[in-house]
Amino acid sequence: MLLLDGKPSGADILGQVFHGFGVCQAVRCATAEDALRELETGEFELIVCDGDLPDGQSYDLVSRLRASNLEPNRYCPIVVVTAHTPSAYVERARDCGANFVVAKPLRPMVLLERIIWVCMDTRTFVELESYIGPDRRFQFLGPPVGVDGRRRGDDEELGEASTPNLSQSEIDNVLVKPAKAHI
Amino acid sequence: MKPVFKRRPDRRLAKLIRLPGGRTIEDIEADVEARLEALHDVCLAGVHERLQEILTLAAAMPRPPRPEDLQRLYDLSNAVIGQSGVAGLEDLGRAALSFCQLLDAWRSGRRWSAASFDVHLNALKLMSQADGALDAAGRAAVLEGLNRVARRAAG
Repeated sequence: MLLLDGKPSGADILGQVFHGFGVCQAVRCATAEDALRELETGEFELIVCDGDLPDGQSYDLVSRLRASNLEPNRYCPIVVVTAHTPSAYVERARDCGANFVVAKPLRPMVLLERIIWVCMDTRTFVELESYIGPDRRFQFLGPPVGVDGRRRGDDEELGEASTPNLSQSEIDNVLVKPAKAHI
Repeated sequence: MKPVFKRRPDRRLAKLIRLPGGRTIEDIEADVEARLEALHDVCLAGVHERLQEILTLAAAMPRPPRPEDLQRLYDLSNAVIGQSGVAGLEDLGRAALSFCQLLDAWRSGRRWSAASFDVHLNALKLMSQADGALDAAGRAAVLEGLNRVARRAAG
């Protein structure tokens, strides 16, 4: 995996967290240029980058990587970690092609859950003129009310729920509480 | 218009996660905690160093601050947030987050307020005392007050 963090203390924290997760080979980079050089020569399964690098370096790196021909790295799951995360930053991360944003201070188990979620995510990788990255739509809600869908499957009707709705904690347990993890 | 391409790239990490075996979450959590504990003192020193830089800069800069001062304070506060968890100063991290919101609002052109600035600096100093000048309820009340100030500044 590749860790991009401009602050030595941040890189140390990330490095120790991933060591604890069982990651044996983590390449640490302090700048986006260093990271790009590594991405040009090696193959990575996961990229974690600090969103607080100066001048939005991390976001530019993600955009460049997604638009590059560096296979398979251009499809690699990318998690952005940032301290202050106003919605504009989250939108920027989403629109440059990152998979997820995790807020600091890092809670290791939350980070692990998010990484597992990102890896198991079944969204397609899309390439448009204006965007390249994982499909930004998390939910399929069907065509707008009163409009016939244009896609296969749009005319499928959803049935009524047959059991009571799950509570949020039950959903969390099902989706983000794996009993075992192997990275 | 360029056509839309969709694909499902092969992800080795997803396959690894699905493999039977591995370590329990409890083991991983204990391992990570032990590793981060080793960084505790370094992070604590780092947090205090950043905080001192914030206070020194705040005392020396003109009021209202110049854009470059706001940016420097914002970067320092971000650094405090990043290390606060490992340093065991979560409340200081929350106060620094509120300070970032405030600085971000001023960077975006919102009206500067010396009172909002000073109350955040005082709260940062207060929250940096690990032995606790305030109890948990007092800290929660201070943080709630800071958040209100930051939200108001952000409009």
